[in-house]
Amino acid sequence: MDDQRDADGGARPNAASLCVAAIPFCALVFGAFLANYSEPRIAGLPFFLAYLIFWVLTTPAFLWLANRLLERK
Amino acid sequence: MNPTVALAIIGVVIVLTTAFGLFGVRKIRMSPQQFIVGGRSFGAVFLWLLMAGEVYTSFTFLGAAGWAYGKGAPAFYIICYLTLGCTIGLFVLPLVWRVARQHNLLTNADYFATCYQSRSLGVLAAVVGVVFLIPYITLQLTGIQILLRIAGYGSIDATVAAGLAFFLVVIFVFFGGLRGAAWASLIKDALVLAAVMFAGILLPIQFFGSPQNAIDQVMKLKPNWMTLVPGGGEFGTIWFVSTILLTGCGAFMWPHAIAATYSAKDEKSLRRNLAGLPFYQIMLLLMYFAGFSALILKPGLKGQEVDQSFMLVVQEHYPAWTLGLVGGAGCLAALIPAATQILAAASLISKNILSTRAVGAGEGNQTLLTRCLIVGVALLAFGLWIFEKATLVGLLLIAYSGITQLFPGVLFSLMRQRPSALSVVLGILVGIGLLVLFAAEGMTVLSGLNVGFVALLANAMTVLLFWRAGSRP
Repeated sequence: MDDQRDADGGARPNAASLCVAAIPFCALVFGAFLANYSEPRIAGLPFFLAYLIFWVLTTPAFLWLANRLLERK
Repeated sequence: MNPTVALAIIGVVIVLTTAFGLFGVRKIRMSPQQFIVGGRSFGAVFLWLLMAGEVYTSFTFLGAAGWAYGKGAPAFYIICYLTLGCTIGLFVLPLVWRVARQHNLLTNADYFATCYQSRSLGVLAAVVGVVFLIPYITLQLTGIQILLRIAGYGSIDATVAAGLAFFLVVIFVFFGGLRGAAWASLIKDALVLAAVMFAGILLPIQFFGSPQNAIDQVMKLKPNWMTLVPGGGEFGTIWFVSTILLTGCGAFMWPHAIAATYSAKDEKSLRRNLAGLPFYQIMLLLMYFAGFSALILKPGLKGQEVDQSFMLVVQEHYPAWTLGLVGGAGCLAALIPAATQILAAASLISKNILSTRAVGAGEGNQTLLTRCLIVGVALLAFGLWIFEKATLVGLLLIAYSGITQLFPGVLFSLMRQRPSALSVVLGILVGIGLLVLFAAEGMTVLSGLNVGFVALLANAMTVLLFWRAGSRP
């Protein structure tokens, strides 16, 4: 079964796509240690919330790129 | 204030949405494939509606505002974990989907049974799925009851009304299956979006000039509300990190989320969907604004009342029809996910726990059995809810930690050299055993870590330790 699963050459995770997706992932995971401040305020939001929102909303861009890297044979 | 107006609007919203869902599937013949995983034919739009629809339940709706109101910064975990879940899902779910497609799988337990060639592991995964889905379903009922009680301006207790709404949805999923739920999500999402924009933008603008001013006022009142307590305390930074990792791993382990994954018509739709889904989190940001506004406008709510905070503000300051529409959106946010959860639990029982061979191999029989079990699961959830309302929040925390115990088994199944079925069984049992132990002791954190995360690590370690146990040479 393993052979069939790999044989179609589809999207098996590769190093490049994993690295790209890891950037916002790590930024969010370690955000509580790195960015746990109220100041400075960004667009009126406390810094911690602004930091998290920034990475949440840029995640689709990183995942899109990771997708491109997955699809490339 | 006229309670009948708001309640009548909620009633109309629910009836129209379910009718729309059933209208969408009126010409579809319900084979088990069609009924449980939508015939594996959902393109990008349907998949989006279904996945986003399942993620945004009443507890996102009420809970995000409630946590922002009652806890502050710990509430931010909700936007993080779903985003992490999508990132993990992008690499895991397409491979799961491929196996499901190849072997015509219907449930997440099927996946375990197929990958590890062990029917017993399949049964265990199914039992875990059903056991932890039931409290989740009862939780939706509590959400509906809160909304209906507020919409009735306290004139009704709403237990009966919540029961009626619930069984209407049971009938709906009985006939409509997964595809019906996807259709109904179309209306649900539109209404929820409108309600969230009202709660997070219009409401703060009206009372404070802008959402940012609402935050200013909260910070004047509670200077530390927007940051976490550093270190290992309850809801501290270590709790935050371990919780988003735990729930991120678990986000797509739910049986109904796996069913949604299977319904994708191809890998591309699935992957594009997962990549785009984090955009939806902006809705949660708006619910935080709603919670912060409520903190200023209606201070003093304690304990479980915080979940009602922003609805109480709507009740106090807006006309009955607004309350009805917002409440209707909230009810749909509880009922439609409940429908897919009941469906997923029923399919686990019919497909994996009871042997389908016992009732004959006919496809019609399997759909019929699943439909009967839908009624059974719904009755069970309703019964549990009647008797056990008080401990539900505790139950959800355990439920999320519990369902995540399936994650190591899924992750290790992607490796070229898989562990033995026995090691995965042992891992799940160790993880859940620890959770039961922690729950009995009333522990939620262990040196700052979310106890679910500790159980998840113990689970994975067990699999690694017993990697080859019981496998034939």
